[in-house]
Amino acid sequence: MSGKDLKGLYKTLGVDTNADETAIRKAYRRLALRCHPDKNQDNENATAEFQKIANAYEVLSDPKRRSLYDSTGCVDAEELDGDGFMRAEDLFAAFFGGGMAQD
Amino acid sequence: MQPASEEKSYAVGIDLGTTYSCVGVYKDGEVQIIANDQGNRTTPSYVAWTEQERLLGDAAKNQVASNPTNTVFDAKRLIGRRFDDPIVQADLKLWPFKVVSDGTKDDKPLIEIFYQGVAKKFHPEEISSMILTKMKQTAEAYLGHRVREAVITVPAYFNDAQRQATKDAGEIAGLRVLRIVNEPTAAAIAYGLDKSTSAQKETHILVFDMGGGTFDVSVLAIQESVFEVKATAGDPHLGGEDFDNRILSHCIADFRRKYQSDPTRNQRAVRRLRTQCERAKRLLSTQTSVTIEVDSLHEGNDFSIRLSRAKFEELCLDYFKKAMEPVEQCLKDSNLPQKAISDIVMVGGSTRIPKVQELIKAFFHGKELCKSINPDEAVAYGAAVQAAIVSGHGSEEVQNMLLLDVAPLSLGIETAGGMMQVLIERNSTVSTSKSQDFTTFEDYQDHVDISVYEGERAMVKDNNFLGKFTLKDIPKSLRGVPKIQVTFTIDTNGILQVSAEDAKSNKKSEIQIANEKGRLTQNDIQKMLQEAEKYKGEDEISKGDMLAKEELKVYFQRFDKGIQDLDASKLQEQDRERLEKKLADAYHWLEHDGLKAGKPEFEAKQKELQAVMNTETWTFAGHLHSALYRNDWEWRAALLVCREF
Repeated sequence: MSGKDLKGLYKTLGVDTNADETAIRKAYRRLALRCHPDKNQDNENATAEFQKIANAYEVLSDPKRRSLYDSTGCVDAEELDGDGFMRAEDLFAAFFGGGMAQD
Repeated sequence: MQPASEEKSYAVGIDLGTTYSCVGVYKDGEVQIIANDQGNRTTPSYVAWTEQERLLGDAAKNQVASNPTNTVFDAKRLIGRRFDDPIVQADLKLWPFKVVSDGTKDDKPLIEIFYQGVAKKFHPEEISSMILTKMKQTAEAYLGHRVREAVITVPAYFNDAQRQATKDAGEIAGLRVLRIVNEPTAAAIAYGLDKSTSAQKETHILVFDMGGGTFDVSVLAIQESVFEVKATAGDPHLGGEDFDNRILSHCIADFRRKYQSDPTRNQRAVRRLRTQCERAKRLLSTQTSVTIEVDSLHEGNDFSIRLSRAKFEELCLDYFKKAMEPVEQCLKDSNLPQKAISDIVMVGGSTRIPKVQELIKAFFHGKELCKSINPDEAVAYGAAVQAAIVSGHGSEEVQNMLLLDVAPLSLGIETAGGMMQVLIERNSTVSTSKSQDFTTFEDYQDHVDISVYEGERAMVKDNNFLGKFTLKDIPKSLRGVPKIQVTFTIDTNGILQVSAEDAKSNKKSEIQIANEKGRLTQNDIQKMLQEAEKYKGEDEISKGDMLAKEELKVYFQRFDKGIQDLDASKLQEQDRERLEKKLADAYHWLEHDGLKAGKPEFEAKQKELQAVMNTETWTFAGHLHSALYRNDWEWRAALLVCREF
């Protein structure tokens, strides 16, 4: 594995960082079949595990997001913009149900 | 491990349709679609109240013309919607039964009927639960076992509230809802098993599902045993009934022209005409013209009109064309070119309409459509398979299958200026979750409100409000200091769950969330469940139990009559009182504990009464015995009647 897999998405799917689309898809389905909560009803971590796999696949199966991830380690433009914390004006809306503009 | 035979219980798949429902079960390595007591493999989604009883399915639909205001259908068009929803308001005008608001801030619709002289109101969930009960009974009669678990299907484009309400309906029917599955996805399973090519190669299919009331399109990738939904789109209010309404309006206009009189206020006339319109629509799928005829429709006037297929298509063309939009959307969302679709799977009764087939075929440049699966049964078939997968009862082939479905609508929260901040994109594979950190805006603020919406528009006011979640009991501190991580999860049923934790202390329990999704509370559901139990009381119980119960009732009546027949010379007053008390207690037991009792309890009760009789003086015993068994043929006749149930 090369150093560009900053969040370990390739590792999660068990593929090389230069794996092609088909290989990524195959890896995802194989893992999904094994880890999906429907197949692991006694394992309460199965949902979280599956979501991790699905998230990795979501990024790596989208050419744009994959190249963003490869170059920056961010999974989407939003993450690239900020730290994921809500900005001041967003917060205002969150508390007062978006009443800022109307008030 | 196989449970003991008396404990054996099956998980069924139920396609709860707008106009018809269907039930299937995976048994002995294959799916059985189960016929109801009338021998029909689909059951009308109808509930009716006559003066004496409640009717379900075919029995309800068959009497609709004579009892229009107390015959309820289309509950699926109401479920999970508000009374002031424009769609509900438009539908209201066409329904012969009465719908009112519950008068609360949630503005839920209630269906009002008259039963035994009293107005009764039901939530759409309760009506759906009655239909589910009918499907459950149909399966129980076939299997000879109780059914406690089910997979229930919903249109893929159903929103959060509609899914939640459907799940609630299942619970009210006494079913553990294993999963809410999307109808086109279920149909894809039926298609996939039918093909049963264990080919390694990935194939893409498009499911075009147009039923009585809803319309969905899904694109799936199938590889080996994994069914992955790539995208879904649709219209939750488009289907065969809308076409019936167009024909109906056309007929009414024609009647008005011919007789200068308006039949629209005559519920019975409208209902009779609608039935003929529906029939005409079906016939026009195989013939090019039909005659719609109703004798003495209104004010003694007969009605007759010739309807050609071309005219029918003209009446509904805008609907048919509208159905192509989700097809386009779905392909776009799945990032696939048209030619990547190897099969177009047609499901739902309305896909029999030649014009619908023609339009979709033209869209795919003349590609042949896949009609190998039964359009009425495919959804229930797939649901039965999914029930086997989830409950772990299927064969190896089924156990190796996996369904990966998606959320049909984007989910987001309201931010500054009423903008929607999307947290979970539509067509994300479920279950999926997204966390977002929240903090306080004022010093010592102890709660934060979060408004959640679903939809694709930029402004929240154009999207569907899902609910307000309040984070309570935030540890008091200066503004901006608390860090609360809120996790929004769309579960495998497509239903939103929200949880929060204080990111600093990592204690989940510290932050309470008040859920204002406007759904039924667990309390409501419990109450409705009890109400339903009372209603069902008699029809719930499986045949053997029913027979034992009826036998016991007949015994009670005989016992009662036996006591009444004896005069004072043969039965002393104190004995009479004692016996009457025994009988009253037994009746009380029947009406309460008896609702949940089974055959052994009923038989034990009968033995108990027999024992009372045996301990009486020989005179009384002799008289009572002869009273009880005087007319043996009557007894047998009574039992025969019971067996008819």
